[in-house]
Amino acid sequence: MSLTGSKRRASGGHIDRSRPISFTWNGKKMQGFEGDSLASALIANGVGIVGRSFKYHRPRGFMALGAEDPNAMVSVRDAHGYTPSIRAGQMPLAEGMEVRSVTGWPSASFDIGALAGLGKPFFGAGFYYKTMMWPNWSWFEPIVRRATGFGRPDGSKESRAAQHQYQAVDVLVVGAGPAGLAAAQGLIGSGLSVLVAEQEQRPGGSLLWEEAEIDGKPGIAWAQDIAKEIKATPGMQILTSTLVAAAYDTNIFTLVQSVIDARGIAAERHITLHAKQVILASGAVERPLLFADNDRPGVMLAGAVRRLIRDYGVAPCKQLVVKTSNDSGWLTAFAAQDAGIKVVAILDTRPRAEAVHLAQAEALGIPVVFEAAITAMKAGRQLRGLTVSTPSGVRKFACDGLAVAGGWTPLIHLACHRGAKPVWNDALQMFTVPELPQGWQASGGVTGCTSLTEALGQSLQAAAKSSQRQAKATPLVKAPAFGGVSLIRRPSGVPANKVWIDHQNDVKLSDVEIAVRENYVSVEHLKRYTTLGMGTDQGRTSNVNGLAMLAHLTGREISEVGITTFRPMVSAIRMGTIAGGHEGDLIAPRRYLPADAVHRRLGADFEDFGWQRPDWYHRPDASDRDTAVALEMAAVRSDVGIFDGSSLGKVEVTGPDAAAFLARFYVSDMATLKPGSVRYSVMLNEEGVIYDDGVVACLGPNHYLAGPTSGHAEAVAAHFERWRQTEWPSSRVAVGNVTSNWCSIAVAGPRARHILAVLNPDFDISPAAFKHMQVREGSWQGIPLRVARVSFTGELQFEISVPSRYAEALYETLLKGDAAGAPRAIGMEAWLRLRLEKGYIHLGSDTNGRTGPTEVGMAALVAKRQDDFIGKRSLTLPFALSDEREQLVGLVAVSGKIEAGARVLAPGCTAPPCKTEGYVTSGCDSPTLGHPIGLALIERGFARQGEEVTLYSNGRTSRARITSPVFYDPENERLRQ
Amino acid sequence: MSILAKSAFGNLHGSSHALASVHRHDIHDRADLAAVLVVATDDDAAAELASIGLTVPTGAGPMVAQDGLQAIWLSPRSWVIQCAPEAEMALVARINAAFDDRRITASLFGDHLAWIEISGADPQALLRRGGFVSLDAGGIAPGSAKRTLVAEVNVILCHIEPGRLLAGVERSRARYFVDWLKQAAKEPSPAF
Repeated sequence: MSLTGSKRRASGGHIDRSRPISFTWNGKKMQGFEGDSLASALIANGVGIVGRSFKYHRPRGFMALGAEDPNAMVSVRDAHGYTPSIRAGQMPLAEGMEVRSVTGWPSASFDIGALAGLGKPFFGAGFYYKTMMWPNWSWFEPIVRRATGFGRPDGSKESRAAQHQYQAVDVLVVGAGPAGLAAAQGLIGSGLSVLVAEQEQRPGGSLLWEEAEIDGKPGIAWAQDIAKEIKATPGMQILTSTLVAAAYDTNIFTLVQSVIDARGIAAERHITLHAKQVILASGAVERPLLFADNDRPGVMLAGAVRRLIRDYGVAPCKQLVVKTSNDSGWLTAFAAQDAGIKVVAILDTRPRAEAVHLAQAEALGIPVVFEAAITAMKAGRQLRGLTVSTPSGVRKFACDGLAVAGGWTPLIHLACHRGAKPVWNDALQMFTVPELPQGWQASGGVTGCTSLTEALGQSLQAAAKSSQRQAKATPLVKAPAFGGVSLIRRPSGVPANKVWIDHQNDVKLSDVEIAVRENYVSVEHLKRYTTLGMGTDQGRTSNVNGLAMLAHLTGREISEVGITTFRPMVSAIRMGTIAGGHEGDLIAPRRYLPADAVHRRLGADFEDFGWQRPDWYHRPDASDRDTAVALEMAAVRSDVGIFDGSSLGKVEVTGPDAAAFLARFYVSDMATLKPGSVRYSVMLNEEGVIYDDGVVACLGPNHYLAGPTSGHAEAVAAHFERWRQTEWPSSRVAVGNVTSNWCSIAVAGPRARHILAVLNPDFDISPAAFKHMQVREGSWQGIPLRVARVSFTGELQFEISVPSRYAEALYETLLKGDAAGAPRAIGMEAWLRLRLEKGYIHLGSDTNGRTGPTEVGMAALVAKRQDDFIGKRSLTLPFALSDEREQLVGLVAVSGKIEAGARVLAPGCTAPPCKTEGYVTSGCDSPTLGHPIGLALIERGFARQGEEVTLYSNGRTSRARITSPVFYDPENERLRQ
Repeated sequence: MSILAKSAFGNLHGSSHALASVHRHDIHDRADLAAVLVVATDDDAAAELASIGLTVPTGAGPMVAQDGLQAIWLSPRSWVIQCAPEAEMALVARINAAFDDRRITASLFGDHLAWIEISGADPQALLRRGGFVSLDAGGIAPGSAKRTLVAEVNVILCHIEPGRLLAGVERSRARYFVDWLKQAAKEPSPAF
């Protein structure tokens, strides 16, 4: 069998050499094997430069093999879709994959953008803040945007299935490495439901590539056995290829499970998980070291080199130098030598190492140099050698690979999402979270532990605590130790602008120096000024080194410097997965009127007003909106129309204290409302701003029906309930939202009473017996019936309510009319214009987040109230009493149109830019009045009646005169008919 | 003249109607069910209701069945009592007559909620595509009910018996909810 690529070993690893996989890299055909990640396959095929850095377009090779890799961003098209930007190590290799570099032009290997490197002396931290402000940022923006970024979406629709799922478990174990598996094993037999989530395709974590023997078995066999045991235990599950992406309050987690087939990622499941307890076994990632030209392709983390050799059967280079500050590097050297790679030297920053390692190195003939510092690299696109300063002098080594081991960074992100505070551990040289969120425990690398025996012990203790049982015995472990880590130091004898800290964002030691010089000494400021750790890798390999340099430069300890905030997600997840099935009509819950079918039969044109509501009706005499709206308005003004107002809120407030309770919410005193009466008012929030408006009907003693605005019923009911429970818990009042139980059909117009009479209600509907702002209850052929005589149009109007199951029957009965004719169906647009002619406010259109009752003409009502109501105090504050406030007034066109949203320009201004003094809240051509009208919130509007103002909207100006907001029947004669 | 009563799905009120047969599940419009909302001003309302012969649960979870009624706990001072449509008005009148000071109030609720029955392999698993259903790993126990959010819609879920679940959905959102159910219950991608 022929092996592909130049770097694949003849044997070794967990790939299946009997199953070759073809893929392309920048159009070039390549081959890997089942079990390869994209990164391992590319490396095996000899790909050295995978992309370019963000700013200087320096060539970038693979530094690591997972989410921590700052360099290997690629775009991938598999059989199921296109991923514009992902790290190669996070993508399993699949047949037919098309992989491209996402940086560099014309290619990642030869990038013209690398000329940016010539400007390196000028492109230090913050250069864009200082240089691209003149003459205008917009001059530079297109160039900068083209030159930067990682990947481009291509607009194609993916066939990758996405599914959402919610799940609740007793214990979530994050990670199925040795620590996570041991924790899960400790929970077997506990009866608890357990979910183990592992982001890799296989459980085992570092046991897949580290040498270990547990309970007499090879580590990997031990891991496989436990995984099988977990799967076989009822109530326990292990999800591989599953990223625990975020942790939220009350132990809610976001997990993304990738379902992978032979052709790529076929589907993803977005799991929202609740866990009563959590065992965090997320492990740690390796940290690079700081030295001159440390960003060159060929420099890899030592652990990644071990994994390439032992998990993927890849030898990344022929001649390897290892530079290390701990024993990880030594283990890599031994693994490499064993794999046939010539290990040129081990360079240890420490003065000594474990005797056992030293003896092994000697036996293998590997030269060892202590207290070594790399001062120069011989490298262009590929590493060729390096210069090392040692206590005994300068030495040069030829090599094509450099493995670096600078210590460990625990993956504490999830705990930090929940507010756990990272604390610097000076002995371990890493941030850990000693105090975990309630119900959480941690084990393994995430705690800073580097001993496998200790990690397994921690896990079993955590499992025992979770299951409230005795801990199982810790298995017998044979595994190499990683030893202590030397302190992170500023590299000496090398220029700061040659030492890379953040490889993705091109942040160098010299950039940290600039930031410190300019007093950006807070860690959060350093991050934002230099972009340190702001890349797609979220600074996993760069943050700690950057903070160490900040500490060094400011004479502080790392513990004093602190660390930046970790926020969800821990790694990028697909937007399509977040969206799931939320597309088309299912993007958000839709609400339908109970007589929806009738409106559709009548030819309604629907709009989403929170509910699907008829905007206007197609009819033979009205094929366009303007004509229809004018005819619908005319019907109401001269004859009669019917309008479906079923969405209006209906909240029952009952009990001995109901009247006093309601009075606390509304500006008008609802306590004085008599049975059979209705009152309109507004309710305020505590800031004195109008929160809602509507009518309240008193249906009987201790029985009220509040009518909040459409779409606000649930919020108002909750508002009532919140105040009842928190401020007036002893109040004898109950709240029930019955909005959808009742349909409400409004009949409006001079002949409204005649149409109501069609129902033959069992109560007197004569003008004398049933007056404006009254309510009656009765029945319509035995069906419960409520009729309120209120008006939103300025005409005689009845709102007729029956249980919603009769909505269609009621609407159709009313629509048939009487002998004198049939009413016209009225849509929302006509309805809103009718109320505009009358000057009634439409909440949310004619009010905003600052509008109080005084501004809409209710000052007298406020002044009249002697007792307290919510928001009253705020109305006495200077801000509320200011003369400068915007007040609601009417506008009549002098020239041109009055369009909602138009700005009211300050006196003397004819066109922007200039000061504006308000805006048009509603506007239309009034068919009743024959000219454009509007409502507007204008500064000092009440005192400016008669003044002409200039309106500006969408590049056009018009003139209007400020008037009273009531344009139609100001004496309310039509309401009294 | 007869006045037709229609369910949220346009079916004649008073009987059960099949809405959809989806992957391993059937969905029915239970227009043969109505309900009454009972709200109270005091914490001892359950005892007061018992005094007129109505037993309601005093805590979350198990439903209480009595004389063709099924009482569901919503909060310490509110319940939904499921009943036949023809019993709805009489039940409201009975409660309101007993508590004329309105310290306990019954309201017609049969049209506020659309009752949707989901039966089949695992209705709770289906609903878990849109919400937790329950934070207990075992889900809602048979004979129990609870209010929760599914697909961003407030629902009252009643676990009638294994494989049968009743969802009380606010009427205006019932069509959306069933559309969502159909989408969620589609034959899953072979990848899953």
